[in-house]
Formats: sequence, structure tokens, C-alpha cells
Amino acid sequence: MRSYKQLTRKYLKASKKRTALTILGITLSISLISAIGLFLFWIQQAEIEETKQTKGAYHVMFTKLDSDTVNKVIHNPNVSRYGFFTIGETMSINEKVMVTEYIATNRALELLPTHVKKGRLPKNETEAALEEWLLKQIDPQATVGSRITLQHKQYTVSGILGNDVENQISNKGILLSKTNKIDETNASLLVEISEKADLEKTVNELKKLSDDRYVQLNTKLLILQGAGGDNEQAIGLYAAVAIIIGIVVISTIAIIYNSFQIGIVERIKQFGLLRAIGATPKQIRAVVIREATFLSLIGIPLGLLCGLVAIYGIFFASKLIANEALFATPPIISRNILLLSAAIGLTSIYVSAWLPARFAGSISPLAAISSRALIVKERIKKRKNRWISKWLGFEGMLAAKNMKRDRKRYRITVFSITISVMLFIVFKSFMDMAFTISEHPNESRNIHFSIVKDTPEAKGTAASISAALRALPTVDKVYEAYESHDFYAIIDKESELKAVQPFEGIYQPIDWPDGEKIMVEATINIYDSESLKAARRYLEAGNIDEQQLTKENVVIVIKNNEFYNDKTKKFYNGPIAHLQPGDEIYLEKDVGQRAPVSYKDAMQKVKVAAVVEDDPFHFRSSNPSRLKLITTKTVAERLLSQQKLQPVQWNIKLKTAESEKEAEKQIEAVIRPYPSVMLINHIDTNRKAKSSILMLQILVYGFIIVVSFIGSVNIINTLTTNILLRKRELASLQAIGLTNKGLKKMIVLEGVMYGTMGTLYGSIIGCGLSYLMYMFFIDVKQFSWQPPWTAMLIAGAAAVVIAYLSVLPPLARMKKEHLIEAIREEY
Amino acid sequence: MELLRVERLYKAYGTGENKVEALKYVNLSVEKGEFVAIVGASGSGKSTLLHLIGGLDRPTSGNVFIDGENIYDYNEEKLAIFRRRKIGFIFQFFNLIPVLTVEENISLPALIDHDKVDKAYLNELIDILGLSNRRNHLPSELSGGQQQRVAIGRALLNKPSIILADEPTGNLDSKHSKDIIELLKFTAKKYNQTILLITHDIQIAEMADRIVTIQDGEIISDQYLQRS
Repeated sequence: MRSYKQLTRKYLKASKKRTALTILGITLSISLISAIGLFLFWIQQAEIEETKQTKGAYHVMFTKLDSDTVNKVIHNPNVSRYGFFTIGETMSINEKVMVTEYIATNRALELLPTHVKKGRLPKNETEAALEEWLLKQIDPQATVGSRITLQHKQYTVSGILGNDVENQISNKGILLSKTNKIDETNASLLVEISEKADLEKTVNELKKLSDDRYVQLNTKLLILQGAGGDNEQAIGLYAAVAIIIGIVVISTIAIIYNSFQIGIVERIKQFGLLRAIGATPKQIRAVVIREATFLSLIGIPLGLLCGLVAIYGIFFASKLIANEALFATPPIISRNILLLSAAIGLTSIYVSAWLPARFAGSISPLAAISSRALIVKERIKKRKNRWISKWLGFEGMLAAKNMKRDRKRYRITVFSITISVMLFIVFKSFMDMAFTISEHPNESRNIHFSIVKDTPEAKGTAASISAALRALPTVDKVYEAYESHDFYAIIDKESELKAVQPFEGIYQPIDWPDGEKIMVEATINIYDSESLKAARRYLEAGNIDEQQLTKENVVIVIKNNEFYNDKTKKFYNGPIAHLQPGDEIYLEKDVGQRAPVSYKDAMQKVKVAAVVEDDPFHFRSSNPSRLKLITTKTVAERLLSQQKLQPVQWNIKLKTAESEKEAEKQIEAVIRPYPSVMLINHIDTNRKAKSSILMLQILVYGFIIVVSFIGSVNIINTLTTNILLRKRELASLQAIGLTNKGLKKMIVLEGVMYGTMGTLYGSIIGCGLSYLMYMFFIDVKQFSWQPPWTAMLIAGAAAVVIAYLSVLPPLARMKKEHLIEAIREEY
Repeated sequence: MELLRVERLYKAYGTGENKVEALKYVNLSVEKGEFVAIVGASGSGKSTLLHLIGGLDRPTSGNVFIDGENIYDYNEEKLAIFRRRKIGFIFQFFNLIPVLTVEENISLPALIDHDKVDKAYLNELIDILGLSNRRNHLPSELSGGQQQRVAIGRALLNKPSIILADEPTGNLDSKHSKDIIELLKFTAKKYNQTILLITHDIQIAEMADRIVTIQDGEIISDQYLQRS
């Protein structure tokens, strides 16, 4: 040993278990912090990539420029890529499909929203890239390298682009081609700004070069890259994330503080001795701080590694689940985020080691010699807990007294349990809120193909198509979808909801013979039997029975609506009205004009048969703030006084998604005789949406597991040492006749009491933080806050159970030790 | 030559009803090279006196001069450095650092002082203490007598001018006790050190040059023993 400083290493080695536990705590916290950071960065990058594909990679577009300004723009040193494009002629392929040619120079094609699925972008005038569905329309056999003819032009297909469902439904396709000469003054100029440049500044510079009318910004991309000015939603999300990271940091501090404080309390005598033989407080502090440094050196790199492993784990898991990369890019590891996580970790370690270090420095040298110095400081409050001794006996009373005996120890223990409980509650409620504001997957997500009619009027298709589709061996279910129909609905005054009242125009009072009623706008969707069966899974009240539904003029109410309110600039998410099975609704067909409705109109009465929580299928409605109703075809025909409603869409669910290609061929064969219908493939989009939700779940549950782990480590650490420190005292109790059973009861009760107190405080703070996060979340989407009861219950039960379990091993260890030795041991 | 002077040293713990007067205005003077035994019943204040002389604690009032300097004028930092250079402590419960070996435990005061360990002196000490074949043992591998010898080695390493021993033989049998005191006397003579030793054992006390008896916080007798 060359210096007293090596004491640090020796101590850490001698108390391997606690050192390992502390390193584990540090590692978990750092990996949590870095994983959150890396994941968010990755999502942001993936979102940017996705936006480049859907909205284009350009930042600024000039729709009209003179050549002078063109020169200024393209020679701006901050411009990394640019190019011109013009919209060429629109050609028709057949009687329904039109195609528009986009001709571009330089690198404009790369900056336009394109997603090359196969091949590459065109390089000259004779090459073209176009959407898959469009290519099939032109030549079903064509692929990359084929030659196609469009009216008078010939192209070689250089690449196939991903489908745009909107384009497909509207039957208007896009063809990309390249040229070297373009009339710059008549073309639009796309500009991408270099990553190194100050984006916001450069955008403003470029904007000034031309008249505002001719400048278009790629707003979404700019916002994602941090140049969108103030964005309330982004701020809300960032704030929520900041709270989460803050909480992780606090818990890291709590763990490390605890671990150090305990380590020092255990060694009071040793520190006292060092002081007695002449170590200065500064030297003692240095010993403790060196311990912190050493632990950081191991824990932080390990934590960063775990963070990286977690991110790549998510990436590979998503590949496995989704069969393809869920995010537009593989994880992008930002060195800055790793450094920042390490810095946050290191700071919290030093902050948390500082107080125990100061405490160690202030240990009196007398601590080494007599225990009197310690006892003198302990102020014991005399209190009588009659009810505790009555309920829990002598052991309970002793436990309660012990708990409050040493304020410092009491505070540390309760603090660490509080932190753990709070951590769990906050994460759980963060997750719940995140799922509330994200899309709810419904049966539509399980649809693999849709067959869509061009016009609802196209006749003579319905029955034969349905039957033919159902007969296909690859097809599991066929759901027929119909046009939606708007109605005015009169409901009871009592069904009004306070939360909805502030939104203008949703409720309208109306006079009714038996008192005032209210009118709301409603939309009815028609379900076939198959769809009704699927809807049962969403049932909240009442029951769904097709026969009854048809016989009695009844409807099913979809409880939750979600709409954007222009005035509050916020989303509302929740019911429009409080409706229960058995309630009556009067309906009047809404023909588009806002005719005043009165009871004198020939209204039809329907009864609510059931309430489903969310849309079983994507609800077809003209306006998301309308009351959503479901009924059968027969009832709808009755309500509309219309005969033979025809399905407009067939949604097909395959037996397995693997049979995609085979099924596609079979379905195409079925619809070939009907020129007015087309096939849309949802497999890719649905898979993506489904797996992104699954990934979010995996991610957050993963975080919750880590967080629970951190919390448990914390509780175990504190309670274990709490007992070991009092070995002598407990042994004395045994010596004077406390049985093993009694001792166990006392200690277990103590653990449970700590658990209860910690849960109490943790729940209160956790609720507060949960509400705080809610305040940020409602910027993104409106919904109501509820105290996180489940989380509180789980956390409370877990804390008490862990508290119970963590006192068992030290008890067992004590049992093994000789009583006399324990009594003589000096602490 | 006077090395240590204690002037009207007073120490009380607690206040009001709970007030305990551990030392009541004690005066004492010790010459360089003297071996003083302090005896008294338990709770008489002898340990308090020793702690105050060693600067482990501060008195309620009064002064302690060592080499003419008032140690209570020092701040914590200076007091620690004073302890490390001038005082060697030996305790009843040997108070060795359990994670350090014999050699490391003895070297500790030098290491704390950022000083290089004088290897020759260290080896000499280990030899004198009879620990040569235990150098690399941990305290848990030693007997009580051996542990106490390690503690003595530690106290001697910085060549302090005063050795303060608080019942160093309290945990040892009579044969080992005698050996330890002989050892202390031998080293004190060799390195010209002053010893203040607390003991219950009258046989041990009689090995000293002078016996100071304390009762209820006051010195009630101060007696020089004649050596033949």
C-alpha cells in the first residue's frame, strides 16, 4: 500500500456485495437515462426519415424565381442539395387512371417525397420511376428494367415507388423522370440546407430572397429538425420526458446516497479511528469521494453499454415482430447523448456521495473509542402507541418505537421506499397516458385487404363478390362495409356531459312535449353479422344480438369520440353523451341543410341496446364530433326508408398474413369481372401500426421493469443494513428472552411499517407528478386525469412485500451467529 | 523538562438535570520521558482526561499545553495533524482496520501524513513487536495480544512524543498484559517517549513511574514510585 487512498479500494473489495449492489444501481440508472435519450433521438431521426419520404427532404421550395435569385439561392454556402422540378403533362392510362409526370433536374428527385421500393430514381429523360399500383395498371407484367409506353412517350422503368393509398383511391398516379434542361423561371426550386448550418437562420435568409407567395416551407421536417419555432405539442412532450429523466436522476441519487450513507454508518468506528490517529476531515471525505469515482468508472460505462444493448435489442425485436424494420432507420447512436447521459450520471453520483462524505468527515474521533459519543446524539422521543401494542403486541410496539428512534435512519429508509414507489407510479401513469393519447388498435388493424367500389352507386356486385370472397381458401373473414348516414339525434337532457358543454355547437336544446331535450348530430354505421360478432369484443354494457337488433329498431352506441377543438386548440377524447342500454334516441335524417328539428317531425324512435367502448372498426363519419351509432342493415333501411343498401367496401381478413401473395392473386381473380372495384393491400401499413404499438409496450414495460428493479434494490439495501447495524441490540433482546419468533415478528413489522409509510408518501408525490405530466399531455390531446389507483396499489403491495422479503436474509444470517459474539461486537 | 501541562480542565456532558461533570478543573504536569499510570473507578473521568489530552474531544473549559502550545487553539484540521504527529493512541479494543494487513495497519499514520514509510524503522518496529512472521496477516487472523502489538506499532510509527493508552491490556490475560507493558516501556525508553496509561489493574499501574488516581472527575492522589 503506497497511500492511505488505497483504503478506498480495500473497502470496496471487502464489502463486495454492497459494492456490487451500488454498481448495479448506477448501471441500471445510467442505462435507463441513456436508453431514454437514445431512443428519443432514434425516434426523432426515424420520424425525420419518414417525413423525408412522405413530405420530401427539402426545407424550402420556391415556386417562382428569377434567374438572379436562383443564383443567389443555389450558391448559398449553406445549401447542400437543390434541384428544379416542373409538373409535366397529365396522361390517362385508361378510362379511370390518370398519371402526372414530374420532371426534375439535379437532385430534386431526391428531395421530393419519394420512397423507392425497388430499383433507383431515374437518371435521364428516358427513365422513369412510378408507384407499384400504377405500373400494374399500365402493364401488369412490368418490373424494373421493363419498357413502358405512355401515350406517345417511352420510358425504361428504373425504379418502383411505394404505394400512396390516397393516390390509388383517387386514381391519380405520379411518374418521376429526370431532365438536364429545364426552364428555371417556370420551375419550382427545392432546397435542402446543410446539416452543419443554422437551419432556422438559413431558412429565414432564403425566405427573404423571394416574395412570400412563392415560398413554401416543409414545416413538418423543419419542426422535427428543431427549426419550427415554438411548438406547443413538442414542448409538452419534452417537458414530460424531462420530468421522467429528472425522476430517474433523483432515484439514482437516492440509491447511491443510501448505499454510501449505509457504507459509512457501517464503518463509523473505522473512520473514527482514522480521525483519532490524525486523518483530517478532508482526507476522510477524499476516501469516500474516491469510492464514488471508482464506482462511476465501472458503473457508467457498463450502464452506457446496457443502454446501447437495450436500443439494439428493441431494434432487433422490432425486426423479429414486424418482419421488417419498424423505424425508418436503424438506431442512430449519438455520441452527444452518450456523453450527456454519462455527465448526468457522474453529476448525480458526486452529488449523492457528497453528503455521506461530509458526514464521514465529521465523524468524531471518539466514535472509535467509545459508543457513548454515538448514544449521546440519539434523542429518543418518548411516545406511547397504545393501539399499536394492543393490535400488534409488544413486538409491534418495539418496532414502532425503533422506527422513529433514529430520525436520520428513519428518513433515509422511508425516503428510499418513497422514491421507489413514486418511480413506479410515475412510469406506470406515464405509460397509461402515452397509450391513451396514441391510437387504439381495432379490428381494422387486422384487415389485410380491402376491395373498394369507385362509386357507391355501382350496382350488381354485392352478393356475388361477398360469396366469392368467402369461398376463397386463404380468406378467414369478409366484413362488408356500407356508406355511413348522418342523422339528428334527440337525447335526454340528463345525458349531457359537463366536459362537452364548453364545446360550441355540440348540444342544442330542443323543446319536447315532456320537457327539454337536446339535439346532437349523429352518424350511423351499418355492420354486417360478421362485424357485429367482432364488435362484441368491445362491449361495455348491454348485449349485441343481431336478431334483437333487427327486430326492435335498436342501435349500439360507441362511447369514445375524439375530435379537435378549434377554439381550445386541443383534442377532446371521451364520450359525447352519457348513454346507457335502454335509453331512447329519436332520429331524423340529416340531409345536409341545417333545418330546425322539432318533435312534430316524423321522428323515429330507437333504443340503445349496447354500448361499446371504442370503434370496433374505423368509424366512417363526416365529422369526428358526431355521436357514433352502429346498427344493422335492416334497421338502417327502415330508418332511411330505403331498399336494399349495398356494401361499398369489403374488408378481408386472411387466415394468415403469410399467404399475402397467393391471396392477392385469388382476390384479383374474383374482382376481375367488375371494373368498378379495386384492391387495396393493407398488410404493410397495418403491420407497421400494430408493431409500433407493440414496441411501445415492450419499451415502456421494459422501463417499468428496470424501474421496479431500481426501486427494489433500493429498499433491500436500506432495510438489510438497517438490521445488520443493530445486530448487537437485537442480540441483547434475544439474550433477555425475546424468542426467535418474536424477533422475526418485530423486524418484519418494522419492515412492513417502513413499507407502508414509504407507500403513503410515494403515492402522494407520485399522484402529484402524474398530474403534472397530465398537464403536459393534454397539450397533445385532451383527456381526463384519474389518480393512478392501480399503480398505487401495485407499488404499495410490492413495497410491503419487498420490505418483508428483504428483512428475511439478514435475520437468517443473525440466527447463524453466536449470540455472545453479536453482543460483544462493537458498533 | 515539562512536556504536557493540563490547566483547570473541565468537561461536562448534558445540561440541567442530566448534567454530568466528567472532569472538574483538573491540573496536571508531566515531564518528558515519564511513564504515568492513571487509575480510577469506571466513570471517574480518566478516559475523558485522556481524550482531552489527545485532542479527540474539546473541553468545556480549561487548556492543554503540549510542548508549550495550547492544542485547543487549533482548528479541526490542525488538531488532526497534531494528533497524527505528536500523539500515539492505543485503545482497549485494538481498533485495527479489518481490511488492512499487519504491515499496512502499522504504516497507516505515515500514509495519512502523505509521508513515505520509513522502511527500516517499520521493519525494526515489526521485529521489536515480534510480528515478523505475521506481516501479511489480517487482524482477524491474529490473537488479541498480537492485535494489540499491531496497535502499538501503529502508535509508534510517527515517533510521537506522547503515547496515550486507554486500558491497552483490558482485553488480555495477565501474562500478555505484562509483556505488552514491558514492550511499551522498552520502546518509550528507546525512542524517548512519554506514556500516559489508563488501567484498572494495580499490578500494571505499579510498573509505571508515577500513579495518578482520579475519582469523580478530580485527581485525589499523585504518587511517584521509587525504582530500585
